Amino acid sequence: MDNKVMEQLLDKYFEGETSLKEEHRLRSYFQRDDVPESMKAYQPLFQHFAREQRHELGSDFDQKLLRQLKAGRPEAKVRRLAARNWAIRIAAAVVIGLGVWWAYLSGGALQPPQQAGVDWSKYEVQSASEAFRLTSTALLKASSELNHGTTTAAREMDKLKKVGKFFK
Amino acid sequence: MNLEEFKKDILPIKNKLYRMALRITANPAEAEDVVQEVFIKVWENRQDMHEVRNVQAWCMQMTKNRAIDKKRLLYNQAEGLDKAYGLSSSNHDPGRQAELSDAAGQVKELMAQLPDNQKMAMQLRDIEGLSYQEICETLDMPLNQVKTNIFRARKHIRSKLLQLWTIK
Repeated sequence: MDNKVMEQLLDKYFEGETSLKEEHRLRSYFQRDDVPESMKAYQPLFQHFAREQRHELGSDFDQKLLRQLKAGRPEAKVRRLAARNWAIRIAAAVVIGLGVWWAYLSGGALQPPQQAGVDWSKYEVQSASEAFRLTSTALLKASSELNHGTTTAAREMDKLKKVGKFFK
Repeated sequence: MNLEEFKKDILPIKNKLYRMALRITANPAEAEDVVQEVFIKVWENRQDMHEVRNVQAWCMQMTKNRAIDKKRLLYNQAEGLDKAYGLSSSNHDPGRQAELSDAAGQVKELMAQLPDNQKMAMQLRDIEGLSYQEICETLDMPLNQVKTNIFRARKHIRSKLLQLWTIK
């Protein structure tokens, strides 16, 4: 008789029409070992519900939480990270401050060394003949460099012509 | 709200919150963290809690949101590691295969495969024993939608259980 009622209740459950009390009754019923063959397929479902209800937090969770609440602002992970960030900021400020202080103290050492002035007067041309000699030397030097450039250009042109033959 | 009221009115819902967070994160330590964060939030806002009509539904909603955030974070971290080490997140875990081989594991898997809204609604009803109204408030969903989700979830699970039973 009980099984017949349970079958009807099961249909009602799958139609979404059972009350919380009826659903509790179904869960209890399917914990039995003597569930008839016609309803055995549904047993794992209700056993799953019952098993899932057993996941619980222990009393140590309560103690830890209440201790944190009593202590005021709880020590959260984020807070610890925030504190570490502050420490990093302060350390960075100290390092920069020390750097500035050191640069200030050793200011004299950092100045570029004073260089002795060059006495250009000794390079001054003193006569017309000396000027002529220096100018001639400079022009000869320029002329030889120009000749060298022309020779190099001619050599490179020859190479290009040789390479060009392969592509004709 | 003082600490005694907190212990009497809020702390007893810890296991409901824990199970909800656990189902979403699938990680006991992360689920415990979520519950702790939610309780700390309640404590910090204790002056305004009288404005909340249903504290349990409010806590469950916050638990759900925080657990989803944690899951997303865990998923992203795991994906990053998988990519870094060339692993895939498929069902090759031997422990998982063994779990699926028994009826309880199969039911768990069937539940996990449900669309999120159906899964949440069914779990809140069948495991937590919440009324339809409480589920509406927790999931921020209209009553007819809650009922439809539960009906569809149960219908799907029923057909799958019958299939599994026939195969055996």
